[in-house]
Amino acid sequence: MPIVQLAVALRDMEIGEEVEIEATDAAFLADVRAWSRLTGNELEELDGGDVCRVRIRKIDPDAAEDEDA
Amino acid sequence: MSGTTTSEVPSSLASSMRACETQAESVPCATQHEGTKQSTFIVFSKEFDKQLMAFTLANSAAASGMSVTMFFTFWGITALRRANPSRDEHGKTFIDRMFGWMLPRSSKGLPLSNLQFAGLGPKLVRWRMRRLGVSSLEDQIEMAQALGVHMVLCDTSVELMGLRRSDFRDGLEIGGAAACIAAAANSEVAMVI
Repeated sequence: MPIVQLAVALRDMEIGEEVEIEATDAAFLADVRAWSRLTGNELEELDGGDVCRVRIRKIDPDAAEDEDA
Repeated sequence: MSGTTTSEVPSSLASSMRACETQAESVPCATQHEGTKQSTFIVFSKEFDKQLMAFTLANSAAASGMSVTMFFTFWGITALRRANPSRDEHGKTFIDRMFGWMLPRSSKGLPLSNLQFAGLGPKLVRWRMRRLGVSSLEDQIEMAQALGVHMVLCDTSVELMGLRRSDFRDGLEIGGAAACIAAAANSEVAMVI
């Protein structure tokens, strides 16, 4: 499950740090967009082909809550 | 992301809810950080496909930063049976043991809801999952525990099926209907599977 792997990777990252993830799962792009909306972590789409590649920037979870409200 | 999603509630669940009103206070899942979104999954069915869906959704919710509670009741509890329980059946009645023999022994013994083919169906699905690189049900259960998903066993269901706490995997919580409702009441997503 790429989303779970992404979430686990984010645990050990500092705020503002970036991670790139590649997935072959056809639903990954839709999933990662939804995940980004829900968690507030910033998403940059690098490649939407057969192998989907995105870059995620970790944001401050507390700041995301304020934005949401 | 407001609004509550609720799938069809089996009528038999209503009675199981009444039967499960014990030991609600022992569930620590009611404590949560303010502002953290919550989701609750009531897992009633024992079928492999339904269990897989429950764990996939629960893990995705946990990965999205939600606080997740999975409440296992009735047939759903069989997925959490230990693959190799202690052989200590001391004190169990004949009927207790009969339930133990007839129900799935662990997550590996779960049937499919469709295309069971006398046990061939689950093997075929698991084989296809391996080929496609889909996480196995066992991996997903481990993943849920690693992500801090609260897995709550309905105590009354355990007794009803002639089983004991020692027949189940470690890291589970015990709870009743009130705890389940308390978790669901604070949840943005609540589903019965």
